[in-house]
Amino acid sequence: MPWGLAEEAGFAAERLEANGICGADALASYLQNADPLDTAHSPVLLGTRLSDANSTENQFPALINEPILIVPFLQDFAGDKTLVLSWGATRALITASGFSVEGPQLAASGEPVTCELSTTDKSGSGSDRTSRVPDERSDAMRILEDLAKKTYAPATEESRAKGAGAGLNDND
Amino acid sequence: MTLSEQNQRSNSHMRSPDQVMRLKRMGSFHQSRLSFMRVLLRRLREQNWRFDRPHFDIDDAGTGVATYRAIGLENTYTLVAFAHDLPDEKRSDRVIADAWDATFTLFDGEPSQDDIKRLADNVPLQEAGRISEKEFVLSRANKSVRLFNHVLDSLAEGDQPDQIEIEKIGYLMRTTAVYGSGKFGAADRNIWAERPEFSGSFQPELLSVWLIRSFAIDWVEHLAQLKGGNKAAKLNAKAKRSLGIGNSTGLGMAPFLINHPTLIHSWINARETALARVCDVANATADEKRIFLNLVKRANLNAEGWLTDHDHQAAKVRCLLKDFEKIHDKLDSSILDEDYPWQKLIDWAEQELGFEGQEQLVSLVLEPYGGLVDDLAPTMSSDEASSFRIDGGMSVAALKSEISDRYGWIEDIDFDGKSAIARVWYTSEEKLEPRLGERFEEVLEPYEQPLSPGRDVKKLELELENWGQDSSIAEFLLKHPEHRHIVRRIQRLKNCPYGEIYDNTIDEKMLPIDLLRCKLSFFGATRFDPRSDRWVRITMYQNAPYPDELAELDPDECAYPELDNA
Repeated sequence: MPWGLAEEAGFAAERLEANGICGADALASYLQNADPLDTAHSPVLLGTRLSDANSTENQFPALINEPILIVPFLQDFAGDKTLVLSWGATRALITASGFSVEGPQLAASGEPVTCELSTTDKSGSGSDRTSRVPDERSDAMRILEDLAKKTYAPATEESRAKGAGAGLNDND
Repeated sequence: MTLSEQNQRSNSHMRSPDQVMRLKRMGSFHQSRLSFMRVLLRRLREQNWRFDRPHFDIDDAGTGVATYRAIGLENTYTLVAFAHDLPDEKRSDRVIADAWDATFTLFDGEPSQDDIKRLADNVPLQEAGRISEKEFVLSRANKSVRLFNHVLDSLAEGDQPDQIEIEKIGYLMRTTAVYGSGKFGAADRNIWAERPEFSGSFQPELLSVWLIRSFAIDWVEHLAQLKGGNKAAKLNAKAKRSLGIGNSTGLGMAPFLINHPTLIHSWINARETALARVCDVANATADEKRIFLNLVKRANLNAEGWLTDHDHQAAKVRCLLKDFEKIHDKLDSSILDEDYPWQKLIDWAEQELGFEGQEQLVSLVLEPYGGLVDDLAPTMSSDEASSFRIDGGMSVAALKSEISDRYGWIEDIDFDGKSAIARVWYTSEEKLEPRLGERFEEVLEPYEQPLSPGRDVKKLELELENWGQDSSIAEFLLKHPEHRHIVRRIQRLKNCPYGEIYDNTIDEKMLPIDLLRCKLSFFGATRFDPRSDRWVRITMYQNAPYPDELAELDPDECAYPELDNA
């Protein structure tokens, strides 16, 4: 995944978590289960496509992995309405100020599911903003951290000496 | 003149990014009124913050815990300091160290005994421990063994330490990391970002360092008392004032300037706006001239005491000392009595002085004009989230025009040659720290971080040649997601002219210490002493008031050494 798309994936997960929704789990599940070459069902690509085109026209219904990850990208389209993204038994209510989810947040199978976009008069209730992934969901964070590690270069004696650039004597 | 007219007039005098955002110049910046340490102390003084030391439980071996409290109108913060007994062979400033002379955290409020117990289990471990949202900062420091022992032994004998030694080294302890926002469990920035006492940048971190400075003095005096008993002395005021806190900073800080373009714009823009406002002053009053002339002498004294073994920096200091001679000669003429004296002085410096001298003068001309420039301090932060979204409706033609406005400097660089792409920024698996490697000597390219905007813009430019002018960026990125990062950067910089460094950050000759110097000058650091091309020692809060002096002593009057120290 190119850096620019990874930034969008991080944005989606973080924005969900800030609204008390398990974005870290959704991203971990998507990255673990989905075929990275299967761009057709990528929630990150669909989200950025909506965002870049500044339109949701002709994009739904869509068959994608972990649809919850599109929710943050849809927020800019809510205006004064409440948008509803639904798949299976799940309804995500999206307003300009936040999101809430009724039903399971993650797709059951890890397979792509069909999701639909509609609007409703019902007002979505935003949840309290948080800045932490709760400890009980540290598994997802561990998976994401393990994936992040793939971008870190293994240390060698050479890189240790050169790359960090410490002098020979750092005491005085 | 209304404020907006004044701003407009000032804007016309602003130095261009093409002039300012060059690594050689950024690597010559000096602390100023807008540096974050000075902003912090000015604000604490204006708001009548009170300070005390609720605990000082250090045992006969010199180990234990002490707390330092800063009490404001609405909030209280407590530095919790743990003093350790560190064998000499374990003392290292490098990030690979796993034990330190002292470790610290800044607690939001007043810690209970349970909090202190929890912190005692974690803070001494640093990266290997875990703190919580009640803590804002995690830090550690090592002694300057030479000076610490000299001061300890002198005080234990009832004597004062050698003032020359004190000024030569400048600190009893140096921090080897000051971790803030969200690191190792600490509170995220958004928890405190709206608190008025922390507006600007890095205020909790710098509050911690300032309180650590008090701890270093208390600790050495306590150890001297243990050793010397009744005959032990306390440090005299002059020696205390000359002691700051050292800091040892490596590459970890360098990519920050590239990764936070809107924030860097806000810092540089504030300083350049301040300079433009001062250059707009038609006539200097006698008082303003007196303040300036006095500070020129004191800054000269500061430069004379600037010791470094690093060839590159030593040459720059020599050049700065020569620049001071020229400055004194110039000021002997009547330049300050002419109209627009500061503009004339800055224009003259541009022609006659090196970068060190030019940038020293920029900092100095701001000094007499607190009333004109200090209000810029709260603008020195950025809401990065608000500029995250890419404008897909922008046309290829408009993006190209942004590139030609902002990235003209890349045309002079041959990115097909090895020397222009000799370096790779990467993150090491071992310490999760940014590092800089050699592209053609090590296998690092697969791990390359996007920290070379010049090269990336060049690649984008080549690809855009294949696209029609009216095509949208949305269409382009659909085909070329690999350019998404750099397109976002270019769009973000649209209203942030000082957000980009106009130099190649992966060139074989690029000096990371230039990036470090720029950032550290905004912190308010002095006495840059590079230990290699990518690692630097500095001093913080040297000459600054201590907490118990802040009410009486204006910190802005202490930013340079006193003349009678000569």
